[in-house]
Formats: sequence, structure tokens, C-alpha cells
Amino acid sequence: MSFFLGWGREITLGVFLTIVTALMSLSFGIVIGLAVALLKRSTRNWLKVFGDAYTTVIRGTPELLIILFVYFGSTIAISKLASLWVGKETWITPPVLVSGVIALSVVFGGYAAESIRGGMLAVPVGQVEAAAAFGLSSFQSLFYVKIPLIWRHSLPALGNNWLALIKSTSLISLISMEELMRKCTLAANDTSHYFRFYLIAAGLYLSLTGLNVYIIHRLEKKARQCG
Amino acid sequence: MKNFLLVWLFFILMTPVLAQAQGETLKVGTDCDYTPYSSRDSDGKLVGFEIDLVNEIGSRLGRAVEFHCTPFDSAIPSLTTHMYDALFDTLSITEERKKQVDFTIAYRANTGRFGTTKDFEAEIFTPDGQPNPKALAGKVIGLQGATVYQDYIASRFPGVEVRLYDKLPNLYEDLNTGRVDLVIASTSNVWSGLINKDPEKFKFIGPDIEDQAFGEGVGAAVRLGDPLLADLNKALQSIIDDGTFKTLNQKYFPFTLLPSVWK
Repeated sequence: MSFFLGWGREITLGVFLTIVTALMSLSFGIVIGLAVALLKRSTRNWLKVFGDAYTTVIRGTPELLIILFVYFGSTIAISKLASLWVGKETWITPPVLVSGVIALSVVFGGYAAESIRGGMLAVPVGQVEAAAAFGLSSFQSLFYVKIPLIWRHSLPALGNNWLALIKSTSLISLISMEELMRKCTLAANDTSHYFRFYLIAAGLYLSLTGLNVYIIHRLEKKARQCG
Repeated sequence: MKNFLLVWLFFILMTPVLAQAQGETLKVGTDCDYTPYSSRDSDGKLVGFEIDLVNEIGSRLGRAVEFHCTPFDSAIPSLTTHMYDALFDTLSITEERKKQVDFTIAYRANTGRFGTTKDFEAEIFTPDGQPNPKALAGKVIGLQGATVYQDYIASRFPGVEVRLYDKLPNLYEDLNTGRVDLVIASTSNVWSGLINKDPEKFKFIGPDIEDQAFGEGVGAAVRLGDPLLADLNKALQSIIDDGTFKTLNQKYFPFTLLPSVWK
């Protein structure tokens, strides 16, 4: 433990928070991404406009800005609502984890929507028509034909988004969440061993992303086999 | 499953409300990364002058203290949006900040001082004590952005190249690697963050600077009009009056933080 100069436990906690935040944001973000991708493919004009606006705004603004916006904005919005409800000035502060996860999910959703839309575009019309010709209902066609194909085609891009998300978690340190990067900075400042702790941070991020690259690779292989 | 999610959601949403119901806790924002005022040791425990001071205030007010670590840039917005109720963040009292928050009485007088490497020589001040920007032509001054020192250098040392930093440790690291030639920050921080860590390598240059630009010192901030201000002031004053302040001061600094209280 001497290599960590006593900071091993704190950094482990940081890694844990990074993983938890990333996984929670992934699960909410993928739902947002799917919904927005469907909106963008919608034949109704106003739904399409909404979907396009979402991805344009999210992909066109810095993630940091969105995180701060959600953190302060949500507090003000919820408190205003609560004040109206109760009838006097009330302040409710959502836990930082909630703000952080919402912000990262919203951002991930924007990028994932484009990846999923790409997967939808890659589904050959012939296969869908063939499914109809075989007498599959539109529901069966969606589950047995379209979704496996969309999954197969969007997985590489989604994997990319996922790696970016793992690294983006370092931004939530600005709203006072002490994830991996923040813990390493604290350790570096405390011990004045900057190079060592930044190297540790780099190594830990690389192992996290490396593990995920492997998982994505396995998923891609599996996606190619079935269907 | 649905029930479980609802219960979970309920607790997530109600946590702050439930916490508020207890009411008595004093929620304090602090930097947690600013030795020796407020930092964290390897056990995750908060230590430092401001931490001790706040704990003392808490015990005199009979209120439990809950610390919130906050990055400097979002410290005041977090205070105004009720993330915490008081901010002890070595915040200099300035007219501009007084429009956003109320300040307690000062618990540190503001003096700034230049720090640099042992071999650096320049006549920063003329013999009669006037700033001498010409001596720094071609040199780079490093300082923390959004601080009083930024205005000070801009008005007293016009034309000298300035590099802004987010964090003082990064600033000192860049002085070490030669990206900046000299730094300016509060005397106490230049001493504790730079010189005291490696007296063989670093030194003060020029005298202690007292300047109007540095304002009235460092105080704790509360929201505008918050009655908490009176409580904090009363506690601070009693800490200063009975000599506890001097004891806390000497625990962390070999010089006085409040020359008006003790020399």
C-alpha cells in the first residue's frame, strides 16, 4: 500500500463511484437514446423536430455546461415548484449523485440516439419485407428481425459512446462529487506526488476502459453470430 | 419490482427533505483541497485551520457541523442555491461579492506576497515602495483566476504577462517547472503551499503587500439577509476575544492571520 502513500482506500472509493455513476448513466442514457432515435425516425414532423433539436443541442454544447445546468437548474426548478406547493419559500437540494447521473444520462442519450439511428438506417428493407412475407406480425418483425439487426449495427458506435461516458464521469468532480479523478487530485495535492497520482489515475481509467473494450468486443462477436 | 422502484425513488427524493427536518445541523461549504485551511488527509478526514474554526463555532452555537466539499468556482452559486448555509472558503471580502452574499467579520487579514525560485532576482518594487512593472518585462506572473490578485496585477503591474490557474498547487508546480517566473497569492498560502515545502528552492520576493484591492480580509459568507450571520459573528468574536483564535492560528501558521488581534 506504500505505493499509494495511504490513499489506496480513498482512491478505491473514487473508482467505485466512477463505476456506479457510469453504469447508472448508461442504463438511463440508453433509454433516452432509443426514445430520441425513434423520435428522429418518426414520420410526424413535430416529433422529428423535437428529436433533431435534442441531439443538436446536446451534441453542440459542452458536457460541463450541461452538468452545471442540471445541478443548479434542477435545484432551482424543484425548489420553485416545492415553494408553490407549500406556499412559502422552500429549498430542496437533490443529492449530487442524482444531478450527476441525470446530466450524464442526458448527454449520453444525445450521442447514443445518433448511434442507434445509424443502426436503424442500416437495417436492409429487404429483410423487413421478407419478415412480412413470412407472415410475421409487425411486433414479431420488430423483436426477431429489426432489433437484433439494429443492435448489431449500432454496437460499435455505442461502445464508443460508452467509453467516452466513462471518461466524462471525471467532469462531475466540479459539482463536488469525489470520483476517481478528484480523489487522485486530492492525493496529489496532499502528498505533492503529482506525477505518481496522475499516473495512477491514467492507469485506472485505462484498466476500466480496457476491460470494457474487451466486453464490447465479446458482445460484438455475439451480435454477429445470432440472427 | 415496481414497488421497489417507487420506494427507492421516494427515498432519493425525500432525503434532502428528511435532512432538512432536523434543522439544527450547520451545513458548511469548504474547499477540502487548500492546505492548511481546509484539506483532507489520506484517511478522508478533513483537517485545517478553517475546519477547526468551524468546529469551534459549531460547538459554541450548539449545532452539529456538516461539511460539504465544494470546488472554488461553484462555491458561491452553491451557497445561493442552498446546497449549504455558510461558506468558509478563504473568500476575500470584496464589494463585488457583497452584492451576492453577506460576510462575517474577517478571520484573516489580507496581505499578498510574491513568491519565486531562489535564483530569480528583480526589483519588483522601487525603493520608495511603488510597483515597478518595467522590472518584469518579458516575465510571466502566475496567479489563481477569479481572485483579488488578478485585479491587483492588472492595475498595478499593467503590461506584464499573466497566466491564470484554477488551483494554487498547479500554479506552484508550474513555477517549479519554469512555466511562470513568479507567483502571487496570499502571504500565508505562498508560505505554506510553496516556501515551507521546499525552502531550499523557493523564496519570497518583495515585501508583504497591503493593498486596497485585497479588500477587508477573508470572511465566511452566508446568503444575503440570512439571520445566521449574527450567530456566526457572535461565535467568531468570542473565539477571537478569549484567545482561542490565537491558539488555532499558531497551530497552523508561524505568523499572525489577524494583526489587529495579536502580533
